[in-house]
Amino acid sequence: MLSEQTPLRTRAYVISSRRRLFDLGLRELWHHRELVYFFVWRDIKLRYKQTVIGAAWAVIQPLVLMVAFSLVLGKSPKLAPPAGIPRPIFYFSALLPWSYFADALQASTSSVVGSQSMVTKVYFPRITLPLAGTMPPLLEFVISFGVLVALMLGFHVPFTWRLVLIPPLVIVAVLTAFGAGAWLSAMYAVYRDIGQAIPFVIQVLLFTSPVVLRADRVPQWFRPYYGINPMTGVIEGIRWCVTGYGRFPFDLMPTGLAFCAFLVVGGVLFFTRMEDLIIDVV
Amino acid sequence: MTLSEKGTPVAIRAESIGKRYRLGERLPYRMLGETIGRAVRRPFRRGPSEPAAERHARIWALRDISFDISEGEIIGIIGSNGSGKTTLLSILARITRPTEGRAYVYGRVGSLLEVGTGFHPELTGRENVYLNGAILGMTRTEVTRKYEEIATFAETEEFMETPVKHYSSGMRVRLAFSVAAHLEPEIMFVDEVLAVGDAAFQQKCLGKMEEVARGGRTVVFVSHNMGMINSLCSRAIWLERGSLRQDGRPAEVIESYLSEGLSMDGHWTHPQDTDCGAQIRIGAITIVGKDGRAAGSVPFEDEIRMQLDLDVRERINRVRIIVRLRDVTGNLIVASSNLDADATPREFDVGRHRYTFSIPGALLQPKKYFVSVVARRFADKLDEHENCLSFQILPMGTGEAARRQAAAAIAPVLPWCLETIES
Repeated sequence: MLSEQTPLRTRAYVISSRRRLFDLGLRELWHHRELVYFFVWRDIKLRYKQTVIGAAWAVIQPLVLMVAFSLVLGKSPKLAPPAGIPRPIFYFSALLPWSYFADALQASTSSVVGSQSMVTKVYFPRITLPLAGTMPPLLEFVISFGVLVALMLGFHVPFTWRLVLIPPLVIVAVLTAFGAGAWLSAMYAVYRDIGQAIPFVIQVLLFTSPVVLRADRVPQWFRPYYGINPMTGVIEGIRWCVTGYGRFPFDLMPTGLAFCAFLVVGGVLFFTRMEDLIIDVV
Repeated sequence: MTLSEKGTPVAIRAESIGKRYRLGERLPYRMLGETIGRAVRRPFRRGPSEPAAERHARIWALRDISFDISEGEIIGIIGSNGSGKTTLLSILARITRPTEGRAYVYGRVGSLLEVGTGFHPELTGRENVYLNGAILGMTRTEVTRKYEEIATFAETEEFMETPVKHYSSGMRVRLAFSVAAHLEPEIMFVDEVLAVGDAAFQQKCLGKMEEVARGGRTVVFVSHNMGMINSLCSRAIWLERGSLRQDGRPAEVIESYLSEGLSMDGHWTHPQDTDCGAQIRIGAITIVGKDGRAAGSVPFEDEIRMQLDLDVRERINRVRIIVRLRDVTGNLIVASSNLDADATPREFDVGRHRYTFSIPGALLQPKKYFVSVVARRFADKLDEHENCLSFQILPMGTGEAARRQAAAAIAPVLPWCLETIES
């Protein structure tokens, strides 16, 4: 009686109790690509509505942290930046990708819970939510980058070909935030503890990241493990692109990229598996 | 192409759909600690891995629902609260998955389970139209093409650049419905959303839905408004406690739905188990026949005598009792209150009191009527019973008079006088 898996009309779908394991709904996602754009556009619009200094907020946080780190950490014999690199540049170039990652992870993680009224009332591929969460902080990254350029001019740091490596490194940061966000947003919908844990985890990650620690003083044998957090390689890489100090962190990258790939692939799989539970629980 | 038994193309086919919720699952999220705690304790527990109570704490919100819906049909889904109507709609609209069974949906779907899903108060009307359109599945070019039409239909043209937070709730509803209505879906799911908005706009929405269906597209909608279901739908489906009770012509389904569990013998007493604990409650309603006993049917020419008993637990004043008579399709035919003719603020002492009133004979259509009653004191609802009693007015024979009456709302027998004023 039921041979019509391929009906003639434009869009048809079969509703059943379970989705196949590797049915990630990528075609659905492609259909709804504009929705990602609209979510990003909405978030950017809303973020600066009714604020006085608007986009300036984007740079204030990393700037304040930069000043604080320069004054405090810069004086410590173990953590101080190597001689010859202006401290503001050393810290700001690392805080830039870090701030992006922290904001994107935060937004991505809370995306599903934050849209619960929508998620339970209309169908759309929900993976668009953690995906869209990683985009708006990119705008702030770009604005802050303008500030970095000004700082580089002020401190007479030369602009070199190395800067072209920044975009690929940023893509790694976006993918990491999206992968982790896919895992965490699904878990957050089911376990509200995640909401409490995230700010704390982000703080711990900051103080163990090369933003604060001197990655070049990490023992050789430990460096691949240190690099498991993909942001370690990204931060060190961007800092190298800007300051030219030391060498590109080739030894940090492999474990980081591998973990990033695991986060993204596993995250999408996990998210789509959890999706149905999320709707009934959120 | 999938065809139904009647040979028309199928838009939706449901096969034994069931949805089970774990009790409490709809209640808030869990805390991680509990789950870990349970997992840690489990190995040390003897006997079954889950306590019995936990295993049985599951309910089927829907069970074994099957139907075919052809293209161009307008289906009304009716049923009491908690009967699974919204769950069924969310499964067909792919919001949630069934626990068992399958459904096939052929065509582009627009679902309107809530008005203004995704509307953001800080964004302007225009911005919300684009955002909402994208959420419902429209592309940007489509929205741009339809934009003027959407704004005009919603009657909010002048306010499109104003943030939605400054809109009245009516305006918000109009705009939201307008976006969804212009999605041009092949299949449209609408949940009880038309209950909001003013009468004129409701009418407009109904018109739009009819237009959608006339264009060969399919509409499935949930409503408590039987009049709307009857006038709009080509078919009605009645769900009761998660099962499909009846599927057929709207008038028939509505009648059996409304007749369910109500007294037909002309007498209704307050059920003991649903005591509201207010100072006053409606104890009983009786239709009194000529012989002075309760009667489930009244001849057309006889007056309809109604008796209404009030149980007063605490001294109370200014109570307004309203009795409403509706016909099978939900049209309100008579509404009467104890304060209509007697506005003196009466005080009720503790005890049982009886109101008696009559509706004149030879006035109401010979049809079936459903009685609802409510007791209010200013804005407070003290007691309310919807469609608790029904009675039939027997037709007065056959012939021309009966045929003429069948079409009108009421059937008064009016004395016609004839005189000659010029010759």
